[in-house]
Amino acid sequence: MLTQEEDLFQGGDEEGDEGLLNQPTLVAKLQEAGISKSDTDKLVQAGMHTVEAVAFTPKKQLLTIKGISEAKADKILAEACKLIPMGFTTATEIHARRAELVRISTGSTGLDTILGGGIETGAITELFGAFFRTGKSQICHTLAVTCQLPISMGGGEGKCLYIDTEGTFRPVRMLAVAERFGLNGEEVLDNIAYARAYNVDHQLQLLVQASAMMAESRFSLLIVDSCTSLYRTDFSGRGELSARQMHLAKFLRTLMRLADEFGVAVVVTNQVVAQVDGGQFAGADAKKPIGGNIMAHASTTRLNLRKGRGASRVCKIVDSPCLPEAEAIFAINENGIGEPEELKMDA
Amino acid sequence: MSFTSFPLDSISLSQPQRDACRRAGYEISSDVLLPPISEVVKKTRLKYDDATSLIKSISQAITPRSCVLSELLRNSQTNKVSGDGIGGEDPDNEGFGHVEHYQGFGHMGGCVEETWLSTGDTGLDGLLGGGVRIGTVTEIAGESASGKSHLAMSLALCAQLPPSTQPGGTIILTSERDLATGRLVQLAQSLLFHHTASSPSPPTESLPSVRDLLGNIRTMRIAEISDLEHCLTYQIPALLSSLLPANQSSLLGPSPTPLNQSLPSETTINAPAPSVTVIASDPPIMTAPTVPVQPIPLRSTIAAHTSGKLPVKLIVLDSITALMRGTDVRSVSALGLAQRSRYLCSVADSLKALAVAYNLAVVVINQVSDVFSRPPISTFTSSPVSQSVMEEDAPPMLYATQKRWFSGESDLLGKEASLGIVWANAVNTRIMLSRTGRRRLLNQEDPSQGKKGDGSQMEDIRPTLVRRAHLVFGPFAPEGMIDYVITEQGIRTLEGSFRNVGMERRRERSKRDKQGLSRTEEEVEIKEVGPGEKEVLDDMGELPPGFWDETPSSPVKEL
Repeated sequence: MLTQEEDLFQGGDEEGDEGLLNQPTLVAKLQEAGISKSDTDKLVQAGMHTVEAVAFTPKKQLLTIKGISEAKADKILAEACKLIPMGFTTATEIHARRAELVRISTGSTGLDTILGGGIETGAITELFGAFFRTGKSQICHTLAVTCQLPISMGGGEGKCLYIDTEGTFRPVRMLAVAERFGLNGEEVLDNIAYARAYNVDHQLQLLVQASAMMAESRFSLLIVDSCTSLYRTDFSGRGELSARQMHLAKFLRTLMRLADEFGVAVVVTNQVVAQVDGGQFAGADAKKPIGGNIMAHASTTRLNLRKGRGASRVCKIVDSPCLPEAEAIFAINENGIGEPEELKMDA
Repeated sequence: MSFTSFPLDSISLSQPQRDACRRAGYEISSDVLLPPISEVVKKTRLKYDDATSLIKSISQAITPRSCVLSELLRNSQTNKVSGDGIGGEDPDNEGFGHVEHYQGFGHMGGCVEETWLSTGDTGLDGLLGGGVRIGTVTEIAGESASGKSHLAMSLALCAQLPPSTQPGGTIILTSERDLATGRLVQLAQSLLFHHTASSPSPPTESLPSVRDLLGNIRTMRIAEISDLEHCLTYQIPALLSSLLPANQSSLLGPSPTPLNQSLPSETTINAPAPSVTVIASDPPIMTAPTVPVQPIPLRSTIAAHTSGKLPVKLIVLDSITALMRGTDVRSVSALGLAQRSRYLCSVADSLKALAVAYNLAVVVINQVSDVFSRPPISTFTSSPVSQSVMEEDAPPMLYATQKRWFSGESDLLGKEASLGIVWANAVNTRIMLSRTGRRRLLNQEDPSQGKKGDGSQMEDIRPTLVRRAHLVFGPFAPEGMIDYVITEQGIRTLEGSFRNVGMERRRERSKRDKQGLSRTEEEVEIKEVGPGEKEVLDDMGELPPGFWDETPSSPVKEL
């Protein structure tokens, strides 16, 4: 691998002046930092024309370029990173960026309020309920429509991708929701991409296709309903627990990357199991969302749903990096998630 | 070989020796040290004795200066509050006078010297022996929603605020999600509010604004383990050296990769920072002159200029587990695990190298996994009673028996820090956070209530969840536990909840030896409930509705 360029590289060891420019810096700039011309030419041939491109290339990839030895790659990267002091943003900038973060309305004012405006994009929100019919799937159905609304109306101006593992997908419900928001029902349904997953590998595979679709057109929401039900059936017993958790972790990691890369909101639903081991605290809630610590760590916001009176449901924030623990009441109406009857009458 | 390649010009040699080196064409120390002595004699045309003395003086000059322990001890005693136990501060201690100044805020025991980074809470600092130690890697493990990231954010803010005498910025590498800046702003506001409220003549203009605080916290998303390696090897060193004060960066020489820095790092570490000692023993004027205004730039932070920025004092990695979990399904296999260990070691090595070279603290956040009761492979039944019997009988060197000393698992918590023994060996200090399931009313003893500041009054109607911090191991403090709650102001430990676990264990053992009791009786532990304190069991988290709403209506500058 080592060619005669090595000597040139050793010879020209002098400090280049710090050029902190905002526009892209040409790769030739590296020559001032002691990288030989033949090396920068190689970088250009490999498709890296700017110092920025070099600085963010993994070392492994640099090594694949013919004539770049490990020591040389180290040197090139160190110099490139010195020239380009980027990659870090201050918390102030992140804060400013987050203020503009799009949130997707759930349709219920109370729920939106405790969530700080709605479901956060670029993050994973987990819904779980202690019993069936607590409104998990209903929230998903409503979100699939509201995410298509313009941003001024609390939407995300994007399509929705719906991965269904339980067979609970009902387009009829979405038509009703669309009517409520004054949208054309057919167009709304056209914007919802639906996939049924039959086993966990399939479920994971669908995410690969999802990323391809998201690269093509603008999506704002990805729903997985339910995230864990197939894991409950495909793996059983403690013997397979480790394999199950690994697979689940991989799935959630992929979701996280999709959320990150495309800025979509990811909503997953989860089921609950009774805790048979029995904690030390007999009076404590013996029901736990499944997926264990992996699930708990992966989701950004966790919402616990439970039944209230009649059609009303109670939602509680259990875990969130910035929201306080809080409760809200919403209702499952004909046309999706909305205000409970009592509140409507008061108003 | 970097230790041998010092330019001879930088070493103090006598004139004849210098001339001899020039004659021989020697430029760096290795030219003299590596060849056989006969060759040195021939080239320098010195006498044999002179040549040996030349070699000797060069070797002496480049050997890192060793430090006498008594000297180190003296330096640490002048500044450090003794770390064993809460309330261990005595009035004789020099650091105490000014620290009392910030009582309402929760004084920061022992952090006046730059070797400690305060967590912002006395109790927690006491548990850790003074705070987070600079130059070491501290791990915060804990279940979801136990306050890991929150603690890291408090650290990032406290690193910039008094009584830390040398404010420093923070780098936060996130792999799970973006930084929760909303909460960060809230914390910064309440911290600043407490500072202004607790000092008699509020030097408002000398305190940084929320914007300044946030401007010194840099963050970056890490998606893959290779990103992390790239970032730690190239990007962070470049950033760190660009932020060093001018006099220090010249010290680091032209190529500031951590590996080449053995000499400068030694000198920075051993430097006892005498000026700090003076400041610490000078309580009355603490607020005015030592609040460091000058290094904090007041202009926009978006500008690419890094000259006026604070040097970085803390690196947070939140979290390492997210990178290791789920990146590769193959990790079930032995090969995958070996790969994971290699990554863990290389990450730990680069973090430690950075910590030493740039004199900063490193905090790594880890997740937990559940611990199952004894493996069912044993022929015994797995009822709790026989379990404890088994525990006594189990071979003492089994991993399962040993790990309870380092994994963070305790009688009250069936969870252990993940990433196994490789990572446990890589960190210096391990803190385990957990949710206890108990709730408690924040009553009148609440320090924030007796304060003159009127904006922070809270209606403590509903009980708050009590969480627990457990120092599993660490070189600076004995194993201990302390309970805390997370309020609007951040983490606050509960008075009198500190437990010295090591001591308890020893006491239990001696009691058991005396009475011949079985282990079972110590397992169940009933914590004494103080007067005026009510404990309620957890039902997955519930706070009074207005609990978080009230922001301090304070002279804090808005962002």
